[in-house]
Parts: sequence; C-alpha cells; structure tokens
Amino acid sequence: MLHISKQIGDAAGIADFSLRLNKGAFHGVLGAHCTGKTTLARILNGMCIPDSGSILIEGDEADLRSPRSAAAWGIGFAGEESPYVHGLDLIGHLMLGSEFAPSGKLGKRAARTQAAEFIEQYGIPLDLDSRADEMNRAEWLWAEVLRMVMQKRDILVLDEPDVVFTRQEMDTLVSVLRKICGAGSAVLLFSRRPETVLSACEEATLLCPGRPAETYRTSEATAEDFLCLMRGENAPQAPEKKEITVGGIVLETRRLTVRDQDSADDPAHDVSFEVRSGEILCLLGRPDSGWDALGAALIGAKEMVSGRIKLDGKDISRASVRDRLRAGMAYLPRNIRELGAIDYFTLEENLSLQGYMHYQESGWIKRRQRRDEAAHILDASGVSGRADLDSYADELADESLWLAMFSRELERRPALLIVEEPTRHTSERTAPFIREQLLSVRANHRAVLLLTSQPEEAMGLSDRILVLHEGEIMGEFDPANTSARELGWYMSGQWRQQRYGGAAIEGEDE
Amino acid sequence: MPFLIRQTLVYAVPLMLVALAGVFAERSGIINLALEGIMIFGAFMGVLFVRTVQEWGWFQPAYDASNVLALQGFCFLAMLFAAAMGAVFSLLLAFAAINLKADQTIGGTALNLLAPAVVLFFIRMIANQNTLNMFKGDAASWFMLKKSMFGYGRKDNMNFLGSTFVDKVYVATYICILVFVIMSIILYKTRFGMRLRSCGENPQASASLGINVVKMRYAGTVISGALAGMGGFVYVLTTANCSANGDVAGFGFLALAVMIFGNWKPLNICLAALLFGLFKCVAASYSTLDINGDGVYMLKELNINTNIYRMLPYVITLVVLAFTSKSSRAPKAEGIPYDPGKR
Amino acid sequence: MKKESFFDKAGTRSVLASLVAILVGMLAGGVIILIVGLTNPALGIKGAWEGIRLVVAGLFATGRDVSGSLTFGFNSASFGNMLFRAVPLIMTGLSVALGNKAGLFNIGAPGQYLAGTAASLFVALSVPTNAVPAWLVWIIALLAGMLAGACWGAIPGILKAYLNINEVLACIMTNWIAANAVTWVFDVSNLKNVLEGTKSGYIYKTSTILNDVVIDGVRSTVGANLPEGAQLVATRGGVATGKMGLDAIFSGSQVNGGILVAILIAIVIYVILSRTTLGYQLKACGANRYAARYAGIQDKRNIVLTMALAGALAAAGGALYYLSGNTEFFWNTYQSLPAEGFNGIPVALLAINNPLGVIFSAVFMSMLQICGQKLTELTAYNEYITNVIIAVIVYLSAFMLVIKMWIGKLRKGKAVNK
Repeated sequence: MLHISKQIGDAAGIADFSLRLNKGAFHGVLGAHCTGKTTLARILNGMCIPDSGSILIEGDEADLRSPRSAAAWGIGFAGEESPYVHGLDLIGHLMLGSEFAPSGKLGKRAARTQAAEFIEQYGIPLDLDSRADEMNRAEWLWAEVLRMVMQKRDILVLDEPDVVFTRQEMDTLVSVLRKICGAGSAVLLFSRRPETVLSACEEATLLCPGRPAETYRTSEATAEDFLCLMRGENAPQAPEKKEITVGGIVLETRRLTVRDQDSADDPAHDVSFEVRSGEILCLLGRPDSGWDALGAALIGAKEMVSGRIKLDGKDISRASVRDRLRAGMAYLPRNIRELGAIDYFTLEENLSLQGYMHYQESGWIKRRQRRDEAAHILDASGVSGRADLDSYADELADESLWLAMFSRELERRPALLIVEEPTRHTSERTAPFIREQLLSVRANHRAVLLLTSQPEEAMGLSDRILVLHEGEIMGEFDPANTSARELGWYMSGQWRQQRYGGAAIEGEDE
Repeated sequence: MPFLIRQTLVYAVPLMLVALAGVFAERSGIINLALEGIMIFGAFMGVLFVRTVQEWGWFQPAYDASNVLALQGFCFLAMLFAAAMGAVFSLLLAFAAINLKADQTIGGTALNLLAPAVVLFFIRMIANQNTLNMFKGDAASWFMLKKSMFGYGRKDNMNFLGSTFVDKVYVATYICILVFVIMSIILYKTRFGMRLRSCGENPQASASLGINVVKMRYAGTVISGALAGMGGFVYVLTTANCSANGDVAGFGFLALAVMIFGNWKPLNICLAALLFGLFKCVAASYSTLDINGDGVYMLKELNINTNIYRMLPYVITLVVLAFTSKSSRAPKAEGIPYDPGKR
Repeated sequence: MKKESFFDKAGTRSVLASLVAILVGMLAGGVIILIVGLTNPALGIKGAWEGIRLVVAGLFATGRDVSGSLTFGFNSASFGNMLFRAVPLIMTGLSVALGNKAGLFNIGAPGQYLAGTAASLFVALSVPTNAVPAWLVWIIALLAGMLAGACWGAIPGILKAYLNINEVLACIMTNWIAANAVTWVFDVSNLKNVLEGTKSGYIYKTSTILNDVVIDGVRSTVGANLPEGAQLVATRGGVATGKMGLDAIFSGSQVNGGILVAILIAIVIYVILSRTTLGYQLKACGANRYAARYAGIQDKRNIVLTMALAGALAAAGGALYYLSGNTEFFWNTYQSLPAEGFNGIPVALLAINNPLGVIFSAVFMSMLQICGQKLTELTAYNEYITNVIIAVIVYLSAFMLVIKMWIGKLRKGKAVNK
C-alpha cells in the first residue's frame, strides 16, 4: 500500500498522488511528459524526497531516503541510466550487492547457477555469456530484471521500458513480469503509452495535468479514453502536415563510419543517406543504435573514421564545428544540459553561444547587441514568461531550456536542422509548438534530420524513416505505410530490407 | 649489479605501494592528489615514533643484544604507526570530498600544502632545525639486514641472490611488497573489492543495489591514506636514513603518474614502478654504478650531465603518458561527488 | 559575467565566504599556537598570546621595547616588503585564476615561474647595456620571461587538449623538469656569482654591473671597477625595476614599481575575461568543454592558449621578482620548487578567481608571510605556522563554493527543477 504526495515548484509537480499496490499486482502508471512520472519513480527509488505524504509498505512506514534504503525495503528499480560497471562481467553485475558467498570471496559459480535457473523459470531472454561491454540497452534491461528477481525484490519498479524495447520485446517482458507477479512480487510499470499499460496491467493510475491521479481498471477503458484524459482539456491541436515538393539534396552522407573510444564496436558503420530540402528525414533506432554518434559526427564534434559528408554540395568531412555551423547546420542534442547549454552561464550568454561569432568579430563583446538578439530569441521561444535573460541555465526546467535552445537554433535559419528526440523534454502543451516549428522549417524548403527512438514521433513528423540497428541501416519506410510494430522488428535487428543487405522476407506484419 | 637491483627495489617498492594507495581511493571514486602530503605526514609520524621510542629506551636492550627480530618488530611497529597516521590524515580529504562534496582536486592540494607546513612547524619546535633525525644511531645500524647476521664475515661474499636480496636490505621493503600483493588481491578477488570498484564506476547503480557508497568511499580513502603513510615512512627509512624534512621531492606525484601509467591495475603499476625505480636509482648513483662488476663505471664514462639523469623519470613519464593516454581509462565516476538525488 | 540585480548577493556572498575561510584559517593557526604554548613551558600562555597577536597583526609589529613586550605601529619596511613580495603572488595568483576560469587546474605555476626567472635573468645579465639602454633591457627581459613561461605552460596545455593527459600530472612533471633544466642551464652558464666571495650558489643580482674586459689578451669578467689596463668589451647588468618613488613612502623596504606593473596586468586580465570574445570562449570551455565544442568553439585551441597565457603570467611573476635588482636566485634548485608558484593557488581560490580580487588576496597572503617572519624574529615560534594557516584556508575553499551555492539557492527561493 502506497500513499504519496509531493509538490515541486515550476514545471512538474505531483499533487496528492495516491496509489494502492497489492501483492502480486501488475500495476501501471501512465502519464505524458512532465506530469511527474519520473519524479514519482525516483521517489520510489529513494532519489527524491516527497514534501508530504507517506509510503507504507506492508503496513510499515517506509522512509526512502536513499537508493540504499529503497533497496533495503525490497524495492527494485530499472530506469533510464545504464547499470554498467566497467570491469565487471555480466555475472559480476548480477551478483553485485548480494554476493553469493558467506565470506569475502566471490561465489561466481553459485551465482551463475541461480541466474540460469531463473532464466529458465521466467523465460528471460538473456544470454549469460554476453560480454558486459558489448551489451546494448535492451539486454541490460533484461539483466536488471533478472537481477531484481535474483535479489528477491518485492516491488519491481520499471521506468519506461517501452522506450528501450520494441513492441515484440515488450510482449515478452509483459509475459515475464506476469510470471514474476505470479510468484508474489508486485510490479509497477511506468509508461507514456496507453497501449502498453492496457495490454499488460490490470490496473492503471493516470497522471493528468491539473487533476489528481486516478486509478482505473484496464478492462474497463480504451486507449482513446486514456489519451484524452492524459492530454487534458485545453491542449492545443497539433497542426496538420502539408504536402511539400521535395527539392535538392541538402545533406548527403556516404559510407560514414564513426568510432567511439569506449565501445568495442563502431557506433555507426558504413552509413549512407540523403536529406533533401523540404523534407523531414528520421533516423529511428534504439538509444544505442548509433544515431547519437551519427549526429555528433555530422556536426563535427565526434570524429568520423571514414566516409564523406556533403552539405549543399560542399564537402565538409574535414570542416570544423564552427565552419559547419556557419555553413548552415544546426544541432540540438538530446542531452541539452550536457551538450547544448552551459549551466553556469546565464540564459543570455547561452543564447549567444554560437551567435557570438557573427556579431562579435572584432573580439569585443557588443553587449547591447547581444542582449537585444537574446531577447528576441527568448520571445520567439515562448519561455519568456518563465525565465528571463539573467537566470542561470541550471535554474531553468529542462523543458524551458530546451525550448530556448530550440529557438536559438531556429533563429539562425539553418539549411539543415538536426534534432534529437524533440518531444522528449516537452509536455503535451508545448509539443504542438515544436511540431509547428519543425513543419515550418520544412515548409520553408529547408531540411530536418530527426533522430529518435520513438516510432510514434518518427511516424508523426517525418516524411521518410530510416531504421538503424547497431550502427547500420536496416530499412527505409514511408510513415504512412508502416506501423510501430513493423518498425520494431527492424529496430531490434531481426528483419532487414534486401536493399540494405538483408535476406528476402516473406510477410511484413506479425 | 646487486647494488643496482637493490637500489631499484628501494625506490620502486614505496612507489608502487603509494600508487596502489592512489588506486584504492580513485577506484572508490575519490581523486586523491594528496598522496604527496600523506607521505610527508606518514614519514614524519614514523620518524617521530622511532625517535620517541628510542628516547624512552624501549628497544635499547634489543639493540645492544643485536636482537634482529625485536628490532625488525620495532621497525614494523613504526610502519604501522605511520600507516595509521596516514589514514587519519586522509580523513580530512574523505570528509571534505564525501560529506561536503568539495572539489577533490583543491582538497588534495590543500592537504599537500598542509602536511609540509605542519610537519616543518613541529620539526622546528622539536629539533630546532629543519630535519628530524633518529634519536640515536642511524637506520642502517638499527633496521638493516646485514650479511654479518647470517654468519658471513666482512670480506666474505654471499652468492648473487644473497648479496642482492639479503645483504644490506630493509625488511620493510619486503613487507611492503607483501602488503601490495595482499591489497591487490582484496581489490580484485573479494566482495569488498568488487563493491569498491563499482562505487567508482557507477555509484548510482551501486546504491540501488544496496551498497553503501559513502562507507565504501570512506574505506577507499582511508586505505589510501594508510598505504601512502606507510609508503612515506618506508621511503624516508630506506632513502633518507630515517629522517623527516617535510619533503619527499615529488615522490607522491610520481606515484600518481605510475598509477595512471599503470592504468589503475596492480600488475601494470608494479612494472611501471620498477621502471621508474630504475631511473631514480640511476639518477642518484650513476657515477658509482658498476653494472657488470668489472670495475668500470660505464655510465660515468658517458659523461652525460647529472641533471639529465635527474630529469629522466619525469621526461619518460610524459613520453609514456603521451603514448598510452588514448587507451587510459580512469574510473568513470572519480572526482564526481556522490549525490543520491542526482540522475 | 553580467550579474545585474543579483550582483550584490552573489558578489558579497563570495566575499563573505572568503572572509569566513580566512577567519577559520587564522583560528586554526591560533589554536595550534595555543596548544604548543601550553605544552611548552618555555612559552606558556604569555608566549602563545604573543604568537597569536603577531599572526594577526604582525604587519604592524615594530619589535620589542625595553621591558620585553611587543610594540606595534606603522612599520614602513614591513608594509613596503609586503607590497614587494605580493608581486609574484599576484602574478601566480592570476595564472592559477585564469586557468581555473577556463576549467584547468594550473599547478604548473612553479615550473612556469622558474622558466620566467631563467629567461629574464639570462637576458638581463647578457644583453650589453652599453649598446642597449637598461630600461629597454628590462622590458626585453620581462617579455622574454613571459615568452618562456608561455611556451612552458603550453606543454601541459597541448598534452591535455590533444592527448587528454590529465593536466595536473603533466604540470607536475613539467615543474620538476623545469627545476632540473634551470639548474642545468645555470650550471653551465657564466652567470653564477663568482665576484662576491661565497655566493657562487646564487646568480648575480640584475643590478650588478658586469664588465667584460680584455686584460693582456685574456678575456674575463669583472665588477664595476675596472682594473688597470683593462679594455672594455661590453657592459652587462645594471638592470633594476624603477622605484617610482615608492621607496620614499615605504622606506627601508624593497618595494619598487613592480607592484604597479602587476596591478596593471591584473586589470588587463580582468578586462579580457569579462569583455572580450576570447574571455567568453575561455569561460565557456571551462564551464562545459563539450557544450562549447558543439557550439563551434575550438576547445582544444583554447586550452592550449589558456595554459600559455597562464604560463606567461606565472613567469612574469618570477621575472618581476628577480628583475627588481636586489634579489638573488639560488640556481641549484633541482630539489625544490618555488613556493610562490604553489602559493598562487590559495591566492586564486580566496579571490574566487576574480583577477581584481587576486590583487587583494595576494597582498593578504604576503601580509601573512610578513607576520610569519616577525614570529620567527621575535618569538620562539616559526614561520611555518603561516603556511599552516594558508593550507587551512585552501582546504576551506574546497567546499566554500559549494556551501555558498546552497545558501544562494535557498535565499533565492527557486528550487532546482527536474
């Protein structure tokens, strides 16, 4: 039984959230962006402290002050961060925290035996001989589930596994989790997608903006009902996508290979594609499938080992980041705080991060001009209500920061805008604004390269979709003629179009 | 040649012990730049211990009776005391870095400034000069193993192994090797070691598995302090005739270089330390080095300026770092204060 | 950085934090003095009290009167010497502060200081002053020193930027390499002080007049007074920083125009950091190197440039100190690194890396050193206690910044969002 209440200032807050989780229950928590879902998950994991309310576990008040205390209370957590610890092999990871030996020595053999038993019992698709430094995010998620089972956690909290897993893998996960529930543990599944929760859970609690959370029985509701509730009453409508004649090639990559110091395989290997003006091309893949390395290589921040990049016909393969920015490329990374903005700087300074080049040639900062231009960008972003130019970047909410940086990039009228997961940081309120802006870039006969792991995002915004898996292109799709399920098959690497090196496939959909 | 090997060990062993000290701290996630300062403090404390105990006369009868075992025990006690004091000193770093989430580089530098200042202040007050010596006699007569203890006369020659490893050596050196091996095993083959390493790579994940990251980091830093303190004392015991002068001439930083050069792994550190020990030895005594025993001081004949030899360890460090840095991999979470609430 | 309406709060909080660090540091020193005094019968409480007074107000100590108690007053020599010794601290403080602003911990200031010392001494004592006027030699010597420091500082910068070698380690290595190299270079030079009795361990003061002469066909170097039959070939040396009337104000001290030069350089650095695009780039790289890279800033080039600039500043400290004409350089320095180099770190930290603040914290540090001197002169304590105080201040600086941030966040009332 859990009853929690938490209040946070600014964007995301949870007011009076109540939930009852029974033993062996499979419960879903559904909410769009910025509705407090992640905060809730973090509270359960001991990373956040609620302002008021209490958490009762089997009748006792649980004080979840830290991840350690959460673990002590029997709560297992699998979230967004990778659990990888360099230097340990897979068995080592599974053993960490509850090693299978009385004395100091490590009992790897015993651990392996137990792990194999659980894999057998629950049907977890994990290969115990996988190398820890080569495992992808999906395999890690399986490992985390296995570990939670081995450590006999009573409550399993999974934060948005459907971001990492494809549809097929989600189905497998649901069946595994059902068996785990059957053995007595309770599962709390956080998600953004009604379908996931509807198919998996018996009950779901919805986080809706402006309303207290309510619990529903999934057998009595449909996906549309949930969607409406999640969106809230006054959500603006998303603009329609118009037909645009596609123009000449803006970006062309030829056999691009990117190498990464930390990983064994190349994040991107032999990738070739083109983006034309007036089109939105999407590279869709799991978070570790390589599109982030590609984005970094395109903007010049990461070195490419071989291949060629051409922007508007000019070869920029060896150009510096600054030259590429000047040539008309813009890049909005997913981790805006780490790569797109500087926390210690004020908003004004962040907004002039690239711009300082073009109006401050002489070496002297023209303060008045910088301020005016920054103010202009801030107005366009719609964030002016929530922050001013002198706020420090680390005071802004993720969403506001992202919007401000987004406007900054748009202001430069780039020939090619590379954007990673635009709707990740934005709530239902601002998502239409983003969509509108991206579509207008397209309407103005410039190009957008969309990098994402969400099939819905890809299908909703783009004109063409290329699916990536482990650094290689699996197939090209027309969003109107495909489905998230089909894309899932390609994203997980099980299918591959002939054109891209795969064998012939008989049927398409499952 | 025996002299060359002996002297190399004398420099290399404290070097690898202190490098391992750095490894323990960094593997738990704390950057320990204060190795130099802890060495200075440990050295001072060890020498002070020896001096004070000599003043009290506890081991005087043992000395007079040439009771080697008791004297070695005396030396060992001093080593333990130095280690304990090093551990205490490192608590300053641990507290600042873990509880106050301070900048670990600055904290380490602060300790490097504090140690010589405190040590010299007290040395001056005690001995009215800038060096603190043993109360009586010297390190060689009290703590060194000599062939006379094994029945050889002054003119007798031990065989090669004997004259290299038994004659004119300090047991302290061998104890340090033993400690190095034991601590390495602990780091890699025990549960404690595995947890320690995970705290330095992914503290968030470790915490959600029930590991007490704070406790682990304290453990790592305190062990680091103990090893560095012991290493500092053994260094001045074997190279400075058991005297403390508030300075170890950059040895602690050289140990840091060995640690990075050795990629935070004990075996590589051991080899790197031997290499650097060799260079230090050559730099200190090249003009009297008779490598193959034929009476010819070859290196002296080469007539290379002394200063080049002295520069050699540092230049080699840079050159080697230049080549190995690409594949160098520090513990991922080192230097980042552990904050349970952060993503 | 523009701080407009928050200026008062952020700025004063920083100063407050520094003051607290100083206070606690002094307290720590006082406690140690007290403990030593209590355990040492020769000193006792009276001795401890004297020690504490000197630590705090040693600048004003004027000695002891006939009854044996300490007297205080305006000690012009102390004041002047405080300003004199603040010059290298200002420069190394600027060096470390600049590095910090760009995200680099410049612990290589001692090596850069040595490089500057060596280069400037060489120029000042080798360029013939019968051909080039002494004031010009002074300027060339200073510039030579700064250039040497820039090159020396660039080495760890390049190693970090292009090979990702930790700059702390690279700096420490270059420190010791510099110490050995400088010893070597002077060992084989003709600048060792052989004219004055037992001083061959030192290099000539730059104010020494050296005359290269030929006597009976044999070249040699003599002092200011030419012996009989000597033919003058060249005159060297005689270079010293102008006093600028400061010695009249602070009589009995070694003060000279160097302090004015140092203050000027500090102002220049301040302007660069706050008003130019270069300063903006440096700060961006320091705050978040990767975000700066994604924004088109050439982070690698900036790192090298910053280290070179920092090296030049630290080297200028050495140059200014030894060009003053009344200081001697102990050339056999391979065993120890100049303390001024390391003391730049507390100077920068206390000043929160603000170039203008560095001036004040350097003068403060210098004052502490004068107090230490007085302690040794007038009591049984020794000057190392001031080093202890400085070390404690640095220790506190390590987390003062963090605590300050927390207080600031609480005050402003805005919580950090998700």
